[in-house]
Amino acid sequence: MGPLLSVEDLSIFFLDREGETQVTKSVSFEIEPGERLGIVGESGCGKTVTGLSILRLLPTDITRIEGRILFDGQNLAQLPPAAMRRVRGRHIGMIFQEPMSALDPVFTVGEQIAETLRVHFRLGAREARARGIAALADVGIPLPARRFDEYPHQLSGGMRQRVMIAIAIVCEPKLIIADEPTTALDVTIQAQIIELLCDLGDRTGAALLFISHDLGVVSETCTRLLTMYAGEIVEDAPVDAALERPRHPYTSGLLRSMPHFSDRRGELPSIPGRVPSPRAMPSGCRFRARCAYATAGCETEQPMRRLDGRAARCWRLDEIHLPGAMN
Amino acid sequence: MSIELANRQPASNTRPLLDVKALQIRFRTHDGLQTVKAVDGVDFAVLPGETFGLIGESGSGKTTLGRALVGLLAPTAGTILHDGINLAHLSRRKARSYRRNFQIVFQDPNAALDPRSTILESVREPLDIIGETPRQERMRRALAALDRVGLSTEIAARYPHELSGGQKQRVNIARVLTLRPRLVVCDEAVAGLDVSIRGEVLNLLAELQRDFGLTYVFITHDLSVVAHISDRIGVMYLGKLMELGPAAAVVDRPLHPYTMALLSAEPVPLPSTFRRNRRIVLEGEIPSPIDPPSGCRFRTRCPHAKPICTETMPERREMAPDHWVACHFAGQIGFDMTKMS
Repeated sequence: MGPLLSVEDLSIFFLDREGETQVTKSVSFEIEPGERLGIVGESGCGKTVTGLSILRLLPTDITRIEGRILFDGQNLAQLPPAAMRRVRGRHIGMIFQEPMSALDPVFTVGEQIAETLRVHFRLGAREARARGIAALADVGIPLPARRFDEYPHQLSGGMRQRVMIAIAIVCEPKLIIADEPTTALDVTIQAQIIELLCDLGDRTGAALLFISHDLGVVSETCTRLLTMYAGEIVEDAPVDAALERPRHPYTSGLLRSMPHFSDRRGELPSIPGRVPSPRAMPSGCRFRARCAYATAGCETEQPMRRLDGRAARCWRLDEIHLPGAMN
Repeated sequence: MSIELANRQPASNTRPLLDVKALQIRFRTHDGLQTVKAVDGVDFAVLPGETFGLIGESGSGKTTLGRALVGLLAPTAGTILHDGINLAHLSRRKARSYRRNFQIVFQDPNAALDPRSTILESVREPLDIIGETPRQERMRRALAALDRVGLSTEIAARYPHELSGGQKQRVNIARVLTLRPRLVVCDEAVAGLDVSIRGEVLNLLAELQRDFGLTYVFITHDLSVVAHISDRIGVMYLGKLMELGPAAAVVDRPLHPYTMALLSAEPVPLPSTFRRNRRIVLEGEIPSPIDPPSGCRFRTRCPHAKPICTETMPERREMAPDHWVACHFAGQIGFDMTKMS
C-alpha cells in the first residue's frame, strides 16, 4: 500500500504589491495510513502554511502554490474548489489551535457537527443528531446529548477543543491535520487531549499530521518527526531516533533549548540570532548563520541527505555528533 | 551549582520582602449575584533575592494573586506586607510612591506597549509619570535600561510593530528596570516566546537578578520553566496553595496529588523507552471558583479522595524542612519523580 498523503516539492508564495515572497521551498514528505507525523519548528518556519495548503485553505488571491499534494490518488493542488470541498472535512479533518475562533458562537455545538454530516452525507436532522451525539461521546464529552444543544461559550476550553475534534472525526476521515491543538490548554487538559488523539488514531486508523512548536508534545503524540526551518524541511526521522541523536543542528538546538536538559538555575542554551526573513533568505544552508557547526562547505545549497532510514539537510550529518535528549 | 545555591539561601532571620497572610481576593460576577473566590486564604513569604515560582492552571487564581502582590488589586481580606509595610495603611500618595519598588511584567508584550509610542517613549514612560528627574536624566536611564536588556540604541526610535516578540518582552523588562524595583512579578512573561528566545529571556532575567539583587515572583503554567528558575515553588489550585517548598523537593518529591498529576502530565521530549511509564491523567476540569467544592478543593479530581476530603479542609503541614502541603494523605501517597524519567 502506498502512502496516504504525498507532498512533493510544495512551495508556497505570498503575493503583495511588491511581488512574490517565497515562504516555503520544495517541501516534500509522505504520511502512511494510520501514521502520526509531527511537524516542529519556531514561529515563521512555514509549518502552519504547509498544513493550510494541504487543506487548500490559503486565500487564493494573495497566495500561490507550486508542487503536488497527492492524497488518495488525487492531486489536491490542482483540484477545483467544488471537488476540494468534498475532500475537506470528509476525508481530511482539521483541528486548530483556538477552538473559540474556529467554532461559530451563534450556532449550537450540535448544529456545527450536524452541518458537516448534512453536507457530506446528506443526512436528515434526526440521523445527524444521533451521529453527532455519538461523536461527542467518542471524544469523551460527558452528557453528550445535553452538550449537543449548548453554545460554544457554555463550554470550557478543553471541552471546546473536544468539540473541534468531534467535528474533525465525525465523517471518519483518513487524515486529521491538527495545528497546535493543545497550545491554548492547561497541562492536565493537554494530557487528556494527547491521549484522546492517540486513542482515536488507534481506534479509527486515521493518520495524524500534528503541527506544534513543542517537541515534548510531539514526542508523546507522534511516531515520526519533521523539523522545519526557514521554509524548508531540515530533518525527517522517527521521533525516538531524532530525540536520541538529532542529525540536523537546528533539531538539536531546539531540543537542547528546553529547560529539561539544563541544570536547575543554570544557563539555558539558546540558538543565537534570528530566523532569516523570507525576503532576505541567505544562499546555501539557511541555518548557517546561527549554526555552531558551520564550516566552509555550508555556503552551497544543501539537499536532504539520507542516512539509516532518516534524512537531514546537512552535509555533515554523519561526521558531527549532535547532542540530543540523552546527553 | 550547589555552592551557588547555598549562597542564595537567605538567612532565616531575613525579613521577607513579601509577606502574604490569609489573603483573600473576591470579585462580584457581572450580574452581581455571585462571588468569585479567586484567591481564598493564601499564606506565603518571598525572601529578598529569591525566585519564587507560582504554578497553577487557568482559574487557579495565580494571575489575580500576582496583581495583588504589586498593589494592582486590594485584598478582600488578609494582608500583604511589602518589606514590612502594609500599603493599605499608607496615604494614597505614599502608597503610590512605595509601590514603585514592586513591578510586574505581563504575558502579552503587545498589550503592554502602546503601538503609537516609540520604544524609547514606552521605556521612559514610568519615569515620566513619576516626574522626579530631569528629562535628560530620564532619557539617559531609559537608554541605559535598553542597553542592559541587550537592545541596541537604534531600536529606541522604532515602534512596537517593528520588533519581534522576544525583543518586545525585553523592552517590557527594560521598562520596569528604569524604576529600579526590588521585586518583579513575571506573569507568564515568557509564555508566548519560541523556545530558543525563551531561553535567552530567562537567561537575561537571571543575569539581572544577579546584578541588581532582584527578587522575582514567577507566575507560569509551564512546569519546566518554573522548575528551572525557581528557588521555591508554590502550587495553586482553585484559590489555594496546595503545596509550597524548595523547588528541588517539590519537583522531585512532590507530596500533593495535584502536584504529582501536574508533573506527570508534562510532556517530556524523551525517546519512548526512557519516558515515564505512568501518567496520572486527571479526570474532568478545574471547578468554578464561584462554588468551589467543600473540604479539599482538589477532591473532585483527586484519584486518592476519601470521605474525609469532602468533610474537612486539610490544614497545611510541614512534611519536610520548609516543605508544606495541604493534603490529608500527604506522605502516604508515593510518587518519586526522579525514578520516573
